[in-house]
Amino acid sequence: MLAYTIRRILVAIPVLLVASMIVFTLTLFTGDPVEEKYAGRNPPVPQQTINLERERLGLDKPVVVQYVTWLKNLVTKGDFGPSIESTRDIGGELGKRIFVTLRLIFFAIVLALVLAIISGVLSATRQYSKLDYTFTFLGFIFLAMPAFWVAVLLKQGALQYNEATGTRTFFTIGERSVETEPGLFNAFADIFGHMILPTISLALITYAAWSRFQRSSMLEVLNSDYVRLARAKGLSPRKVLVRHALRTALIPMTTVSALGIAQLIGGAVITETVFQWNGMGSYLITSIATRDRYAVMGWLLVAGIFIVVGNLVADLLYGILDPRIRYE
Amino acid sequence: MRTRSKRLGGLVAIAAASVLVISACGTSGGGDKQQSSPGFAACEEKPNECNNGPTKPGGSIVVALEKPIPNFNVLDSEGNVFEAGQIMNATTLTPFTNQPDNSVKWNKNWLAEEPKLLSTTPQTVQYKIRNEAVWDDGTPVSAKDFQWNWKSLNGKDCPKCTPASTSGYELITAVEGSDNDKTVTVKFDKPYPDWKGLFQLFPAHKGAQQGDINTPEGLEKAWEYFKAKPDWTGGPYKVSEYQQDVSVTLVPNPKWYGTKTSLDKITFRIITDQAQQLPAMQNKEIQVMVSQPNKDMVDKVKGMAGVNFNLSKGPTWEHIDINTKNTYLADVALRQAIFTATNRQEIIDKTVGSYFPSAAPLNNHIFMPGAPGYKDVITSTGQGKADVEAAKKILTTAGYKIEGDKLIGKDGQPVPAFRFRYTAGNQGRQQSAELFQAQMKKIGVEIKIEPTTSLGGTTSSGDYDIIIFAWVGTPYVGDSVSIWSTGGGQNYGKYSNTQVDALMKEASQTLDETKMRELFNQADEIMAKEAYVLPLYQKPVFLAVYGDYINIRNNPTNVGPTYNIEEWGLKADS
Repeated sequence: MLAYTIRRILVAIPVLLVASMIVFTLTLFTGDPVEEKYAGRNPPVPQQTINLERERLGLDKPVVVQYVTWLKNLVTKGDFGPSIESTRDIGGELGKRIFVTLRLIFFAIVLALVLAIISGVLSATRQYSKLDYTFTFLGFIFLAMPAFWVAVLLKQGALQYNEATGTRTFFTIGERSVETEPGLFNAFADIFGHMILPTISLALITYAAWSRFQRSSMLEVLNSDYVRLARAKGLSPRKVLVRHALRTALIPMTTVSALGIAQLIGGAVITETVFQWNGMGSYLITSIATRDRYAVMGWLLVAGIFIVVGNLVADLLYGILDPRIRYE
Repeated sequence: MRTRSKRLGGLVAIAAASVLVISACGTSGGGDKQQSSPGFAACEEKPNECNNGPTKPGGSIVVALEKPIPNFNVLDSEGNVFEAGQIMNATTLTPFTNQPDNSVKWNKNWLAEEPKLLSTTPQTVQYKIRNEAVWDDGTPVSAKDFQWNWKSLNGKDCPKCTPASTSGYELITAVEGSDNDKTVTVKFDKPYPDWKGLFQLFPAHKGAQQGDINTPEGLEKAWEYFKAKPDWTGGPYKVSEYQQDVSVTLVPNPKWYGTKTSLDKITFRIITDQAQQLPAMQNKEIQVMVSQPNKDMVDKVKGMAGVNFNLSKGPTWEHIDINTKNTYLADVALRQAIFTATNRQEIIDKTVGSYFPSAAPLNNHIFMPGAPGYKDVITSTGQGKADVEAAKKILTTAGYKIEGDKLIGKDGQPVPAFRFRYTAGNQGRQQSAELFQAQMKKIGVEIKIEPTTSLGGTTSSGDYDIIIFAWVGTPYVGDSVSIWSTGGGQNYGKYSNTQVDALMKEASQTLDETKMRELFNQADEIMAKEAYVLPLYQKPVFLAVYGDYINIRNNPTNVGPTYNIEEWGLKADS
């Protein structure tokens, strides 16, 4: 398994390299970042400033040199290149923001998994019942609803709740308040009050698709021969469901959710914008808007690594859960 | 199993019910075209004094900022953004401050008397600093602070500094201190009429701690040092805490010698998505928001209890520009016809007018209505009034023909479609483009609308035939010369007229304000006739504040509402 893991990681390197080249080429078509930075300034920015800025960003050098320099500095010094904002360090920024996003998506995934498994299993065991139809209906609603709309609706609901109760239980912006009342409980309540809405909004969208996966895989397993055999042997329905059917039905779920981590890093863009979290998503949006070329490439590398790792973890877990699969 | 499903069923019911409740609450009332709520009722008449009154000591306030702070050196090309300016208004010192009505007023807090023009040949200006004026470490505000400002910004002494502008500073030959450095005399090489806009003082002695500020290296180090969170202040408040991309907190400067402050704490909260400021305001996570409005925003704020709001015309103005490099549009007659057929009122009514009834056609390229020097140079040209017949006449006189809905050029060939560019995602501009397209159809001019995701790139490369965007005006009109002169860096449509160039040059070196304005207007009359840029309207600036606060008012100039931050406070009777 170790050899397999190493092999997979080695294969990922050229993939990431090619991806960085493609993104670099694409950023060339988005316009001159310095021009964009100083567009429409009145009084106009002096030529001296423009020249210094172009020099700092390496824009005065040929395109190939720009890319090679970036790659060399990244590999040898761990330097992600200059940001369009001279005081911002791209590496530090990514390091800081990935944790914000991971915190958000970790709780969202846990919540989505719990909801998806419960509703998926219930739907499958009571196929075509009212409950099944309700879950199917809800699943499709959330599947169809755009992420930002779910977020905005939740926000409005929270505002109504706050107004009705005269409290500020829910917060609409940020990861925490600038200042909180002293005390551990207050600090916890503040973080919780900020986290609950973004987590739910991200979880609901993810849950919708996952519950459908869970339902169909559960249905498949419940109709399989070995479950029928287990039932025929006289095992209790609970034992058949939990020990025999659910374990097998969770296998596809594992793959889906491990891949989901990587997808959610990108998917959190909207949630982070609506709730003003300074995570990876909002960084990507800002960087694209300001033509921060190296920030976009740095973002891609980090997201790329997560996708590679996510895929790998999914495959490895698959092997663990299903004894028939073993990696050499 | 049974219980679990019941619980889930309950959850489903709650979720469904809340969706219904939410959708019912989604609309807010207020279809009327009100521009100010009671707290700001006087702002239209008295923009500089409205919403004023006594304050009570203490209290705090949270103000929303729309963008993160790139750095705190507002003189730097990167730090020179509105958001950083809002904070540095509270810590740095400027001799003159832009007032809400776009006039300028000298700063009595730290100057002993109004700066005066001692002589015009060579131009010499004198500033007298109050003896009480000190930085928060007790160091007096002095001529040295002026000298640091000048040396960093003149484009010569600090080649590695990246100033946002060197305008005016490059003309200064000497900055001399006398009277214990409390009197500052500034001499210019050439006349600079916009001298009142010069200088924003940072503590030179703090800069000098980074290196010798008489050397380029020392100046550069000081320049970089001032980019960081300021651990100093010369103004009413001091930055106490800064969380990048999240917030900036100000507390009173204990050494402040000017108008007494009342608030204990002012927090600026960065909310980069404009739409998210509204729920934050409703949830009282912020108490002040200042923004370029849209109809939805204005309507929603109108429905918020306890919130006062105001819409004011700012010096930022929207306009339609023609690229004179286009072979067809190089012809003045065609340009005149296009602008004559343009219906400005319709564009205004269907965009900005839907929430800002005061929006009106702007009739000057240099001066804003209300400012000394404003003169209507457009009406007499007949442009912007949707006069299709007059437009057709201009065309036929010039040798064009209109066959059906097609314009035939002087050479007998159909005039090709023109590319009209607008900023992608800007709904108002998109609507304006569509209206313009329909208006042009009446004179056979075909318009192809193309959004751009890079306004800066599109303008500077001249990648348009016709374009809509806005200029940010200031009370200092000299800066606009590069927009209109031949070869000017911001003359994107490559307009060129030697007479205009000469008038502009003379105006930008005339210290007699009345004469200067007259010269600018003479140039503007020529430009208007030649139909290069059609001004549309002044954009409104929106300010919303909870009614518990007083002395906060809209300042639609680039200085923003914190121009009088020392006066802000909780209402004495609240």
